[in-house]
Amino acid sequence: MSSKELGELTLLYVVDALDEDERRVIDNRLSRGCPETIGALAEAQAVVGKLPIQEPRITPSPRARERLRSRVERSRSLPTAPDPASDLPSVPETRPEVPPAPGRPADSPPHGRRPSPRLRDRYPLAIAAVVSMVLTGALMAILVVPALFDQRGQLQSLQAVVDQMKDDMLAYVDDLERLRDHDQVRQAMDQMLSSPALRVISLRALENAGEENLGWLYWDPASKRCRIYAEHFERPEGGRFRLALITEDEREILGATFTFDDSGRSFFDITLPENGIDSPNQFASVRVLHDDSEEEETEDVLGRPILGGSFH
Amino acid sequence: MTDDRALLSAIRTRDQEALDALYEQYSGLVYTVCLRVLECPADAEDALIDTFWQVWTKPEQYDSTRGAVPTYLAMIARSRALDLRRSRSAESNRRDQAKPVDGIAPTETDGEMTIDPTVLQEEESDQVHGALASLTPEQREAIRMSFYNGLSHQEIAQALQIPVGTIKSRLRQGLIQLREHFRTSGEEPLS
Repeated sequence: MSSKELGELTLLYVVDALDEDERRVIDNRLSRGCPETIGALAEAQAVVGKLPIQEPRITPSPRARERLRSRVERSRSLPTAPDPASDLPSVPETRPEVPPAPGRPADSPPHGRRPSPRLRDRYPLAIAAVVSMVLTGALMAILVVPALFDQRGQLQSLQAVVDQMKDDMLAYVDDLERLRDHDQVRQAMDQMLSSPALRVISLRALENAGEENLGWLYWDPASKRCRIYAEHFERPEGGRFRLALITEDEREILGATFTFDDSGRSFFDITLPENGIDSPNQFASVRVLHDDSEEEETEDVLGRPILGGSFH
Repeated sequence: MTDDRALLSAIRTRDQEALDALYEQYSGLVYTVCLRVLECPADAEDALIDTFWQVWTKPEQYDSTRGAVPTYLAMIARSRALDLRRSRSAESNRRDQAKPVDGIAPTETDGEMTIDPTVLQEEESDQVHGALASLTPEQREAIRMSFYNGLSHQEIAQALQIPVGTIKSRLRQGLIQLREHFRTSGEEPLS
């Protein structure tokens, strides 16, 4: 390659404008330490480096100088790596003279609990390791922590992330509490459904409805819990309903309410008041009534009373 | 110039006052390069600090036989700024636009690199200005996009919708002409 070609290529090399193969040629020559290439490259850098000389100078903010000084001072305040041999505390050379035990060499430890020489040889290594760990920790604290705080924007972003995480965590706790409550109810109802005392009542129309099953009432006398399955109930808008236990002489002896909502579910768990209904024999029928009826004679949900039918 | 090299020598001995003095003298140049490349004052400040940090931590990289300190600093500044810009490549779309920065834009005519004669650094600036003035506007534009925007000749060709060979030719001829201008004007590029 002629000097002229080399000069041209190095100019383009400096501004990263060479093709890959051309760049490889220059890289190879530089890696071989070719003085001609190094000289041409230096001249090219000097030429290109002059371009900004003619630019109007913009003065950076004083803060930039302070940041640079701060970085330099931090680097200067870092401890230099210790020489393990020179920095380790020296072991006292003088020891109380203890006469050797009979049969023991004069240079052996005075008693058997002293570490062996081989173990003692490792003390400097252990101390050096501890010192290295301490220095590494100090280095990390000096370098990493200020660097983090130096990046105010990053810190603010981090704060935002932490705040978001806190909000998410609180929402998660709320969810957990709801789940726990739900789980408690579910467990209670599971317990009810598996109760040996469970009674299942087929809900049918009292009058004029034949044998059509309109729903089921599960009732556990032990836990006083009920679950009513009301798939085939008509659902007047905004309906709040009352489950009533009716005696033979048409007295309502117990009642509890439930409401159809928008979820589409068709069963409702009901806890009856604790007032001593221990046996299905104590009531003759159940009825589901509009709870908002103000009339003495309540209106049946289905337009007719619902009979508590057979027990299973 | 000799003073600059003395400062670099002092920096090799960990003389912080020398770094301060070098910063005092050339922070404007370095910041200007960084700002032209990055087009963002905050990023330019980071690149400025990175540049002087490199001088502080690797002063041995400067070879006094190969060039003047300002050109050395300008090349480091360009490299650090381009590195920073690449690392923030999410903004890479702007490479295609290569817009000048408000407030620091040179007096531009047909997108060329020219100067505001009222704010320049006298003699050396005049020499560089003269060298640039000897180029065609197309050559200046190609060099500007290459130096400040860090674009390859393919990217420049794509941005200007001109054949790659044409861009490469403009870059090569423009840079050669600059070099010859410095040689023949009596200025020693390497001094």
